[in-house]
Amino acid sequence: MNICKNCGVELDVEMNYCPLCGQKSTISEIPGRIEKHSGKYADSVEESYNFHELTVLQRRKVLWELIMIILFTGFVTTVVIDLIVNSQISWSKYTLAIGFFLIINASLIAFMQRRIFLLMIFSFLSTSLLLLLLDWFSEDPYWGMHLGVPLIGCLYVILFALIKIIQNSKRKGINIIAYSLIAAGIMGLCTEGILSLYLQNKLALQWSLILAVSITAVSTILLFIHFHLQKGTSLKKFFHI
Amino acid sequence: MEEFWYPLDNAAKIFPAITTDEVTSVFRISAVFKHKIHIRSLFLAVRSIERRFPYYHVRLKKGFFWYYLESARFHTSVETDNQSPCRRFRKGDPLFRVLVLDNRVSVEFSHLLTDGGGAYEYFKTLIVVYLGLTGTQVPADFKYLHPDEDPLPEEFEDAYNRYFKENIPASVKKPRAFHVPFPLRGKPALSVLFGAIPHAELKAKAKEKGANITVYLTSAYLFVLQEIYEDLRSRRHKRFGKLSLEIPINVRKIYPSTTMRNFSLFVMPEIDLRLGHYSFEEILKVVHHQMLLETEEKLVNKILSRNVGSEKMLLVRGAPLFLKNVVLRMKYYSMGSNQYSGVFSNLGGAIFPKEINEQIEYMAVIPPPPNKSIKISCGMIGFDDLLILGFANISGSRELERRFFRFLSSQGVPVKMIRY
Repeated sequence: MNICKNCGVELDVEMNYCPLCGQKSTISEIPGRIEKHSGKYADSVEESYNFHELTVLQRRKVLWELIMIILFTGFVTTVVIDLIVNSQISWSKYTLAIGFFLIINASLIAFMQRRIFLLMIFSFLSTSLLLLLLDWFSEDPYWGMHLGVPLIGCLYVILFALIKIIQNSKRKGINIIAYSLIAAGIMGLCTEGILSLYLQNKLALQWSLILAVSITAVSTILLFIHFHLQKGTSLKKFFHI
Repeated sequence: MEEFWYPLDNAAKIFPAITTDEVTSVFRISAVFKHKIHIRSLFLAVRSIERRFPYYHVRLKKGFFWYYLESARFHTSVETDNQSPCRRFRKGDPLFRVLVLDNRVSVEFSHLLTDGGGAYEYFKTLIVVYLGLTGTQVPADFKYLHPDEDPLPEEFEDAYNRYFKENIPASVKKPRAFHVPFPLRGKPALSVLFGAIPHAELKAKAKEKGANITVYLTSAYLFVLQEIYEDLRSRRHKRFGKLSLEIPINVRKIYPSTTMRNFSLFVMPEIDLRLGHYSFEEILKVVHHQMLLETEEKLVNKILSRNVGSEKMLLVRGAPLFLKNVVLRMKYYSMGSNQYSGVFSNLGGAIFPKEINEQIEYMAVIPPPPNKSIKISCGMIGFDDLLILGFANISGSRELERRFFRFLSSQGVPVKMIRY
């Protein structure tokens, strides 16, 4: 009798896999179960290193390690060259700041993909820090705090809202295009608003208003098509009382 | 398959509002066979009966005023039974599943779809077809819902609506009942304990006391609850001196209906401990008469009409769903579980021909996980010469089950705890 050791059901003689759990009938040969029950999987991976056999997380970890090696090599090289040529850290401070930003964001993307809120927060903080550093290095200070950080803040808030709306959309179709267009329109308004406040010390909206109106019209049509012309919509069902 | 939709029946309307990861409104019926399940035959059986039960191939949809069920094309899910029982059906998922492990096949249904009566009919067909495919000769005269027959239109119907009568006086709200004060277990809270009782011995014992099995076990349950109540020292827990059990009754046995959707109501036999201590014999007498009275057709009609009537009120119907959900959730506790101390659900006897009985060790039922007030509920099903009682418990105490089975043993009824 051919028995699945996972489900305990009887399989046909010609069945190599249990149709319930997908496991081979001879369970001792399955690495997945070793991973689940004994925790030895990581060791066996280190012994036989094959990129194609790694899990998604392990692949991400390998890529992250590669990026880290490249970045640190770059840091050291640029700092050493800068020190040799100028006898001080001058232009290499830019590569250091950008490299620091890249390390944070590469780590966030590698390990925090499922925690989108935290990812966005940390990414925003690192980007703001980069802008403030660049602002501090530049001849014309204070643009970072008054222009860069507000713009980046708006961008992250709008992006976060867009991602959440897309994630919560039951049916994904042209509504996603509409949402993205609306996000672009709002970003336009924010950009012009922040720029005018920074340059003219007053809120003056011109081109972004035209952009917003155009985008609203197009998005309305797209959303109407998506929600009201979908197949099988029955008002009787939806509004039965 | 023709596309269709239907509103939730009267009993099902409450469930979307109260369902959580713990209070799942999902119940299970299992059959433990004498052989390892032959998975190919089971798959074939599950597939071949899909067409016979179209009303279960639906998904829950949200309307503006009410939820509704809409036909959906999917194959019945057959899964390994290696997770906790009666798990919640996720949003958009089918509302029933078939589970397999070793010698055991189970079906789990959301109460949105049907009650124990409907689920049992489905399971009966599944067992007969499965065993037929494994070579068991099923007698031609054995009655079950044959997969080659077309479903009757009546099987789709909301039978509550058919038997609803207007202008029936409203029922009086009952006082709050005592609830066992056991601490709750951490999540996942549900644990299940099964005890087997020989049918003949229990029937003889019940007959000796002038009762039937349901009355006898209900009385035993109430007697044990009384013991727990009396042993309590805290006055706070003894505020409500009424002990009451909710006993679902299959209304198909009172009103002729072949509906495969919910068609059950509840009777609530009770004793009031403020009047003093009850002997077991006194409880038997009280429960016997209350059950007789409450299952009388006119009183059943009153309960049915009260339940359906409230859903027909214009104010209720016209309220948007999100408001209804809030109100239903509150009503569920105030009008529902606050009024009884526990649930005892007797599915009755599973009757199969000898050829099928020989293949099955026993059958079992797990009632829907109880809520935080009730904490423990009990389900029972009979098969061949065994009655299996399943206690679904979300508390950290086995006090009630221990006392219940000990009481039965002390009465001379043999009890065997079984490993599920």
